[in-house]
Amino acid sequence: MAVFVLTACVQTAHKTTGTLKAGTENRRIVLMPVDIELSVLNAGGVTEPRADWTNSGREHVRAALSAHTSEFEAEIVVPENGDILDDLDKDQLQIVKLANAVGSSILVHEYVPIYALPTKKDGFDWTVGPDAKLLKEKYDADYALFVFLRDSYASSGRVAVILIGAIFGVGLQGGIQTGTATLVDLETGQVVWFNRLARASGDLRNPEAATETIKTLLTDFPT
Amino acid sequence: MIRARSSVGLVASALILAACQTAGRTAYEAPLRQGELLDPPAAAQPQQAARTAEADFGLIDADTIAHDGRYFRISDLNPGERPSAETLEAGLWQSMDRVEQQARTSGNRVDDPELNAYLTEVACRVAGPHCSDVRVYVMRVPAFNATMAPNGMMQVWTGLLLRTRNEAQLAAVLGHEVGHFLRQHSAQRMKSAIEASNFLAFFSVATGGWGGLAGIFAQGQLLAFNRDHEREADGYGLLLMNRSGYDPREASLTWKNLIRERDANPEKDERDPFLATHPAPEERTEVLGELGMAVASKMPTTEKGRDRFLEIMLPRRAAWLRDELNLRSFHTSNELFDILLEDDPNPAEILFFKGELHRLRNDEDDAQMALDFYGEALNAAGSAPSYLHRSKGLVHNRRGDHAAAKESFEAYLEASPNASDRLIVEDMIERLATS
Repeated sequence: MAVFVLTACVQTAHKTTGTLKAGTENRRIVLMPVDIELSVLNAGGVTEPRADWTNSGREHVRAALSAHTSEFEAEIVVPENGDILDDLDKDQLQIVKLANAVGSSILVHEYVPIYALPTKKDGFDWTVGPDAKLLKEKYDADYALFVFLRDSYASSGRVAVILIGAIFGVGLQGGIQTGTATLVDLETGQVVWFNRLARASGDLRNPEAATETIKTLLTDFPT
Repeated sequence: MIRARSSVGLVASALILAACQTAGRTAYEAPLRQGELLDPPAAAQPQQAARTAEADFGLIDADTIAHDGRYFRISDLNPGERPSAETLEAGLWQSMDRVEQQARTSGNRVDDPELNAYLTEVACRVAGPHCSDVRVYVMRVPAFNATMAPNGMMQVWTGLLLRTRNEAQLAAVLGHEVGHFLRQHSAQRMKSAIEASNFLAFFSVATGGWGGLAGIFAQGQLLAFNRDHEREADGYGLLLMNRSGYDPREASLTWKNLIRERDANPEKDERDPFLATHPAPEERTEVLGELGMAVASKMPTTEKGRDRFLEIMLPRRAAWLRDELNLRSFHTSNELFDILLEDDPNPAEILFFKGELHRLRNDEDDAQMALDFYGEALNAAGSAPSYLHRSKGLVHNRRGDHAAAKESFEAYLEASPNASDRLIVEDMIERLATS
């Protein structure tokens, strides 16, 4: 029920510095391991992470990402240990952490008007710094795509609370799907494209719905 | 309407009172009974057990928790076991795996291989067959704490290593944390939080406004649950010390010292959040002291491991002592340094840091006090850091005693010719010479 009420909030609005600069023939994009967690929203509003859902969600998202990006005019690199960061060394891992931190900063400071930064008002200018080269060397790629997804689903108890709340005129939140996609130029560290997702629909437990999520998240990807 | 509300209020207050009942001492003792380290309950005990069983809440025996009139049995994890994917435990483990990845490359992490190897060795000795399930990370945080995540990630803070005085005291803390892991306390707490909040959600919408009181009830219930987990983990700490041969009488001593530190603080906060989730240190000192004696009496030999412990910690602790200074908490740090001085093999270092406390506070008589402590440090056993002379120079300089300041700065550069601030100090010497 809440899902239908809140679908109106669905929106994505990407940010970009323009087109990708590398020539199409040697443009390689590495799909970084997806940071994903699926959880159940209990009656009282406590979210409980679900390992089984997360595992299948990750597989669906990875398959959807590979399929969707294969249509881009770029060579897609999928790391051998596609789901884990364990084969990265300490310094490479710091770049991944930094890229995630920059991604969440973009989300806050570019999309929430009251948090807009005075230093960032002239265009979209975010970077993880030149050490991004460490990942370039690691994966032999020109760009890295970082995808972050959180998806929660209302338990039957939560649905009941929402219904009771509705009787008393209280609006309560159901499950939500949020995500970000950050494309980083590994030569300069510059974030060349960013998009986010925040809506009360979608279901990463289901392969078709996961494909739709990736398609929506990567709308206007600069191919 | 008013009458209806006040009766709801009464019910709610009754619930709050019930929530504050904890299993108390039974929680400490349960692991020890399971380990056959405590004598079978005396004649008075069954009554007490029966009373606990009637309570809404608490630990019935080592394997059973009563909660909300229902009974849960909790089984220990087998070594190497991961919870199966559809369980709440698995969800928590997976989240914590991600946190652990962050912790591994955290800026706070101390990745000194020798220190890590030593802590892993002690944790392994305590964890026994669960050695490979537990991973220790040393974090540079100047406070007494260690944490355990449900997936086996243990974090030990440097402020704890500064305060424990031998391997047995360290083992008591590590054993406590392993106890949290074996009993899957995080998962229990999560379940409890979900249940409490679910109840709260229905209660709030159904009573249309009494949610606030119900919230207090739910929170009280969770905190009481927490405190019993801490007690049970303390009991596990003693059990594991027994199994690994450490002197269980050492467990209570750390708490005794922490009470001294706390009481030294004239502005101590009685509403310390640590105390809401943990039993009072006085209770832990007392119960751990008594049970520690009882457990020790069942052991043919006990080990403290003081020399081995200090051999690892002493060369590393100057950095941790500097972190302690940065807290700018004069009274508690001063008390801590006094506690350390009581049996420290390197009093010169501690006396220097007592001097630093005064230099940094810089009240009326502090300059003289600082110089006195630096002097004591130079005459005491052990060795103070070479930057003692720099501090001394700074105090003299502040007092306008330029000749003495110059002399101290020169002594600093002589003691530490490769100092990273050599150029700055040379410049200061030059200015002092011409002033």
